[in-house]
Amino acid sequence: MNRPGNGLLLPRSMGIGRRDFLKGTAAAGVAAALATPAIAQNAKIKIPLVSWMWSEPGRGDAWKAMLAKFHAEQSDVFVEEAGAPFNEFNNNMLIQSQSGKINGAMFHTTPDLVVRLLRGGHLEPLQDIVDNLGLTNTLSAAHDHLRIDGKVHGLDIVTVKFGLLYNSALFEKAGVNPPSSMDEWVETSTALTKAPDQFGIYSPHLLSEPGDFWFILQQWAAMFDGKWAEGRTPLVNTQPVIEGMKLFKTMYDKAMPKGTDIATANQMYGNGRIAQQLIVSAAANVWSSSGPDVYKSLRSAPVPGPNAKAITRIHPICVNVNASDDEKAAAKAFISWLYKPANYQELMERCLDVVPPYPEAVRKEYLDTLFWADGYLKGESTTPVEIMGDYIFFNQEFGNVVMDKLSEVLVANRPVEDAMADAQSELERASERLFEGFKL
Amino acid sequence: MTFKVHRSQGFPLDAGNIERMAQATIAEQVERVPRRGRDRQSSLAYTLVFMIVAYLGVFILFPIVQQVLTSFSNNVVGINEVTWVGLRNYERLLDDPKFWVAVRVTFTYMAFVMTGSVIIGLGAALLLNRQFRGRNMARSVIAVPWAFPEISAVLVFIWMCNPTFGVLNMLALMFPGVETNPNWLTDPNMAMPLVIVISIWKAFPFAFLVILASLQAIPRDLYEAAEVDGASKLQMLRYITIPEITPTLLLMSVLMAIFSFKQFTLIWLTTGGGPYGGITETMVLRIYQTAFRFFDLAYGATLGVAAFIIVLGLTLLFVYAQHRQDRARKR
Repeated sequence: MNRPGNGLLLPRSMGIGRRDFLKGTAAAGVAAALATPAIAQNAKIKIPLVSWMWSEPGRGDAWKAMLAKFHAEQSDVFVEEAGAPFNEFNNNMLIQSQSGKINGAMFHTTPDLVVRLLRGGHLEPLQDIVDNLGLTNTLSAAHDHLRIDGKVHGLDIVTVKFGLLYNSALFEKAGVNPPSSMDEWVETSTALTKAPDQFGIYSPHLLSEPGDFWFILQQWAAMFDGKWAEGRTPLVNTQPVIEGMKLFKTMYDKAMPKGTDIATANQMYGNGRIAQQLIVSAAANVWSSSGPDVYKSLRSAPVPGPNAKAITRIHPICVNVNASDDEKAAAKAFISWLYKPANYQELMERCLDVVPPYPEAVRKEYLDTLFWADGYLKGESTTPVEIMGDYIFFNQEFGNVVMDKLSEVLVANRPVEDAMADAQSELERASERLFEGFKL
Repeated sequence: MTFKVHRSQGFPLDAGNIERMAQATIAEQVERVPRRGRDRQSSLAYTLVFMIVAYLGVFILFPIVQQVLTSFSNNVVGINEVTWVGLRNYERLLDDPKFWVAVRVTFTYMAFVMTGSVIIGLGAALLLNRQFRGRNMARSVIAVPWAFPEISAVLVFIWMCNPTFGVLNMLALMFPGVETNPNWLTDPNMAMPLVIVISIWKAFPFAFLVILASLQAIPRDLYEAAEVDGASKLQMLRYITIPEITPTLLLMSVLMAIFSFKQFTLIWLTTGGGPYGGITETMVLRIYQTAFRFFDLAYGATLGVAAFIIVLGLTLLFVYAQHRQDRARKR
């Protein structure tokens, strides 16, 4: 997920005094020193929850609060924080999976990681939790691809959906409205650009940030109802994908701060120097904690275009099949607790999430308070599995080829058609190697 | 004390005799150590040697062997069964245009960074070897880039090179003919030179410090004799300074070549191997991309073996050059 980094260009509103910082750190340190060992010592079993979320502004705090609540309500299980930042998380997990065993009893996953782990036989079935909580018939259809023999092997902890998250104050100042067509979107974004002080839009575009570049680039083709692959056939030279890449190039030329990295762009967004981002709903939570000024002005619109589809990504929590029986039981006890409606509602509200895994997991009154969520709740959805075909198992590999060729379009003005034709040939050659010895 | 004993016996005190006397004394002392003590000493020596060998075996040799074995397999993350494929990965290596691009980029990068950092390091060392006010301060300041963490340095350069608000834009716009902000790190013609400049800026202080130490070790009397003979500054540099520090320059060249060959962080963070088509993708980046982005562990290992052979070649070249130089000096 694209999220603000802790760069040096902090917006003024985000600054905290040295005294506040020291007070906060001291209080947190004392509390952690006093509370954690006591709880951990009393617990019968300690299990790690491997995730990338711990260092994520907003969401990390929400998960820490939920763990604290869990530890306060019972003393049998102590859940520890573990993991790596998002850009390295999938890689670490995949390398571990290839070595035969993943560390940790319980982990968060992404849509492409979970299918690889499922296929590798690393995941424990969680159907018993679903049945015991009476969710058998109400669990969202997004879980269907996590089933083997009807048993679900992962449970959603956040579903994110793409939309246009914009700064309404900048839109009002420029006298423009959220776009409803592609042409209007280009016009609006151009009108909002007053380089170098203000830019209409930002989307990651540097090869040095491949995780986020590819994560968001996939959506640009989905806006034209494009698919990147079907089965084992790459479709990067098809018309919808080419249209999506042409739109990216147009926006890059007319409305983006070229050559800007994500951390800097997010600081610019926080400072009101970027008007909009094509980004997932989870980003709003980041701004609620790290950019309160811009958060007040945030609004969302569905992704523009007549056939536009928004990629919706499910991020499940899973239990490691190789953990000991005690660890598995402890992990399932935590997930069962988390999935109770009252607890899940609290998690969603702390994370400012909008898509529940089952209807009772979200309160309508809460959704009504989300002034920025309107666009995310509308519009058609698609999933990474639908747009990536069997390449969902090689998502980043596929993305690397596309990004490399698109970069030629961006910085060397190569025609999109030529670049995507090259990408298609390269992917066709790579598919022979990637799918050799591969069985679904 | 030993000298006195032998002097009384009337032996001439030359270097050979001193060495023989020392050996005899050590032998006498060894004879005097009780057998149990000697056993304890030798078991300690064996334990220490074993620890070193075990460390080298587990952390150096085993991974190398494992890597070589992986290069003969089809180990790709996601496949169901790992099998031996013989030399297939090496055949693929020879036919892989991206590998040859990476080799070319690596040697280009290595040549410029090695030459640039040694020449600038030498120039700075010659300059700061002279007496002037504030010399110590200047020496400390010049070493700062080397001590600066790589990630922080790269972030600063990325901001300086930002095409929208980077400070370098102001400088570029002063040049005639430049009317728009350059794209800097995303410009295919500028990315590599910029990466090289950043790398030299980061690496040259190390060369400077080592060369400076070497310059200070040159005996003063050589210069005094040359001065008496009427040699000019340039002649002193040509016939005294350079020959005296040549072993150091050679060592620095090889070290810089190896450092730049292994450089990952700086290139990865500035361009990620881009802006496209592997323009700044060195072999180390290619290995990382192949193994940990494409998850093709077997081919990544094959590239690693190729890189290992290249580094080994460079090291052997250094050993040979040093050996030749030692022989020339003896003559």
